[in-house]
Amino acid sequence: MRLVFAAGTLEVHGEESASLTLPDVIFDERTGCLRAPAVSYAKLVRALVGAKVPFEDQARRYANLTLEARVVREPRFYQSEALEAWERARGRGVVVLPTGAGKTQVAIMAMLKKQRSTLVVAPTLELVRQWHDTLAATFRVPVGIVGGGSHQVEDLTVTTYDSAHLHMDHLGSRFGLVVFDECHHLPSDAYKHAALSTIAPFRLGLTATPERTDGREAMLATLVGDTVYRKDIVELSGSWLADYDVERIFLPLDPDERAEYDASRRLYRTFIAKHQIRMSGPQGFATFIVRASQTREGHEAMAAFRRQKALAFTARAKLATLEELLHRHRDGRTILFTSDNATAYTIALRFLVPIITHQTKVRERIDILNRFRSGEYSALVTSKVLNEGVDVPEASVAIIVSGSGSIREHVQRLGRVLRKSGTKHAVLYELVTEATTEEHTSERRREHSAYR
Amino acid sequence: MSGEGSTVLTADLVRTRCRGDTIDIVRVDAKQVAEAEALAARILTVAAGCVGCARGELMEALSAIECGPKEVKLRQGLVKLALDAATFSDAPEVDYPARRSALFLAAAQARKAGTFQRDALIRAAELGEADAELRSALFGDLREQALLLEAPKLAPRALVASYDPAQEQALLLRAEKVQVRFATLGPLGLRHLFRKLKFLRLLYRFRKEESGYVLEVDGPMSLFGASTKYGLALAILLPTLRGTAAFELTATVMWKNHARYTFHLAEAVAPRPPEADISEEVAELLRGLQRLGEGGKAKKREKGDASAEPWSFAVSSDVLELDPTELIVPDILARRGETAVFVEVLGHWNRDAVFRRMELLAKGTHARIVFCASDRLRVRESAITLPEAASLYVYKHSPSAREVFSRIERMGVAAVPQLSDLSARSSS
Repeated sequence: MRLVFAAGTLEVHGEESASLTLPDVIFDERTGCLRAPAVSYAKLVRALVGAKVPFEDQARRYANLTLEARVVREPRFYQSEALEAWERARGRGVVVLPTGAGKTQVAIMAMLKKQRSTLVVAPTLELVRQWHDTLAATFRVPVGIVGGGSHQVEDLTVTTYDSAHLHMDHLGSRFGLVVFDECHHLPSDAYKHAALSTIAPFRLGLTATPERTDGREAMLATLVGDTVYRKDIVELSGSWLADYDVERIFLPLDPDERAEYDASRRLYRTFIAKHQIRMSGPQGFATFIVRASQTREGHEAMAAFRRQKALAFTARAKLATLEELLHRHRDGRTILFTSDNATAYTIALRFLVPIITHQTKVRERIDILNRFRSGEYSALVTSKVLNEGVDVPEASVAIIVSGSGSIREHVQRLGRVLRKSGTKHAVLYELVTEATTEEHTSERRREHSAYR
Repeated sequence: MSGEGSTVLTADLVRTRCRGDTIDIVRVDAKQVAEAEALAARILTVAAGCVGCARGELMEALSAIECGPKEVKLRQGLVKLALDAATFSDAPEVDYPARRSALFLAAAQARKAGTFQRDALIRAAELGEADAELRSALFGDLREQALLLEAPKLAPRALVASYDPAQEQALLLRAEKVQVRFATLGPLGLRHLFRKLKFLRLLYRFRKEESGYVLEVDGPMSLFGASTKYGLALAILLPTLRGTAAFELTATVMWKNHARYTFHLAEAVAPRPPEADISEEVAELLRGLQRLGEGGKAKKREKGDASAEPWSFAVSSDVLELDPTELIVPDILARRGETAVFVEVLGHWNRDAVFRRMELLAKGTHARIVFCASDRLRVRESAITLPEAASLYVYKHSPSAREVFSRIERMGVAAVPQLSDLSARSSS
């Protein structure tokens, strides 16, 4: 009997297979053999070994390694606890730790423990680069990258969720351990195949916020394993994370801004009322776009919608406060977060600070972050791409110029400045324009223990 | 310079009509053709008038084209197809990142020194003082700043004619599986189809019924539950089906709110059977190589060197087995005596296929082979180290016959077994 990896699935060949009851397999008449999803590899092998059935494992193409860490770090108590919990779950499961608590170290400990070819899957190219640099500095082996124009597969390889989804059909048998960084991305229609299509018997999910608005976090149990360990920000701040303050600053619109805001809002609200569009519904905004693009009145409503948002996002008082905060923290490292690229570019031009968006090429992104780390830049502005994807222990100030109502986004943004560094005291400012929709948005995103 | 890439519409641009559990696209019917062509003409006129403008300006101008409530998606779809056929400037020659870095560093230093004065810094940088001027001087490399170099070379009628097939393909992006019925099938058509199915790594069940042949297509994972994982491959398959024979297609499509619908498509007119079974891009490359081969022959004759054989080029009818799961159907076979070099044009569709090939070839190969991949696939020749007998050629617009010829020449002396030893087998 033979086990073969085929395009994200396992084929069981051999006449004797027909007489066995094997987990998760179905007869595939297209190819005339039994087939199971690749994720069932460990279960299938255990069943065959348990039944004492001799088989040839042609699926497994990952190696046993002899990894050694160049620098041995004393693990923090919760990192050791997390690893023990993960091991007890047969090397499958999700570890929930706040940003800055050292999730990467947990992954390195798992790699040293299991000594198998390992694939690390991360959501952004910036994180891929960080993982690559960390693994290359930790182990004496070449580290491959798949994604962002590279396709170098090594026993230790780092890739993005996009590339993993695209390439797992042929890379799925190459790794015995898969680390899903920021694993809350995994339970989507497309990305789940990155986990379903690999045979890796050992899986480690890392995240600070597993909860998703669509409730699909339950899928993580099948794709990676159950949550085996969890610590929240409040449990670690002070000792293991930087101490921090959160300061919400309410700012008024100037009278002329207020008049324009109210007029714009009235215009767009009249349009959506006339067309009975419920903006809070799942299709609300999409319906508004379609309706607005049909007529001149609609074009005006869309322009008014954009204008009232822009007025709240970049109110004069907000920009003046921003100027004062940039000056106050000119010797530190400040990350400015906005909810959209347009506001980020407006701020970059207004305050002459470097900007990172999805359009910033990797080379320039690296240059900006290196200069930020070294202190040449004391501030940078970004929209969403750095919510998860910048590791600058020196960063101590986060300013939320504008944001969504997402709790996860808000916690991630706070996490960017919580990495412990000396006696650093972090501060997160939230700039909210009074009597605008920003007030409600701010309330929604603060429903987390870290903000109480 | 770059075009817009794929010409498949995205799912959100498809006009659909659901009745019960069936779904169909809203076609441009005979009554609407004149109106649609007028809309297409306006789009093409605006685009032609915007040559030299930034993409952002072009998009704004196109979105201002008014149309009736029912034509909004039609307009958006036609705009997408028109832009796919347009040419935009590549990255500009100005080093914008260096320009930004110089200004932002100066600003950071001034801020630290407590001497930050925005206007003075901007004046010193000499990038213009008005906001719009400064924006374009600092961020001229953003996508919306790319310039329209060439308007789409399409007639309104052709643009409208491409719309419904593009909608049908877009619907299949959300397909879980596809069943195709053929009344008749010839061997050439079958080879053409199977070749594509292999390339797309799809699985199929094929059976003969009284009324003809039935082909059910999905992927390995479909066995464990419906999935749109193979939707892109099924969408790409559609033009191949059209080139195969007259057919009736039934697809299960996941559409609104994850509900399942059935989509029927009948293509009554049988196409001319494929003769050479090669794309126009490959045909053009083959002609170029044949010209170069003839030129080489003439040169050798001039030099009185009749002994050394020149290269000859023909459409390949071989299937190369890279490993048990990966077959290659090369497009062109170059031969000189017993030496054979294959050429496969991977075009701009399947980035994954390029990487699979490179990875397998990196372990060694029994055949000499040149892969030609468009730079639109975002692959780099240096991304992977290949053995001497394999070469990846990344081209810009279309593969250069001269470049491919020179690689064939170099590869002709690479040490691999001769043609008679190859594990190649004929598929015909």
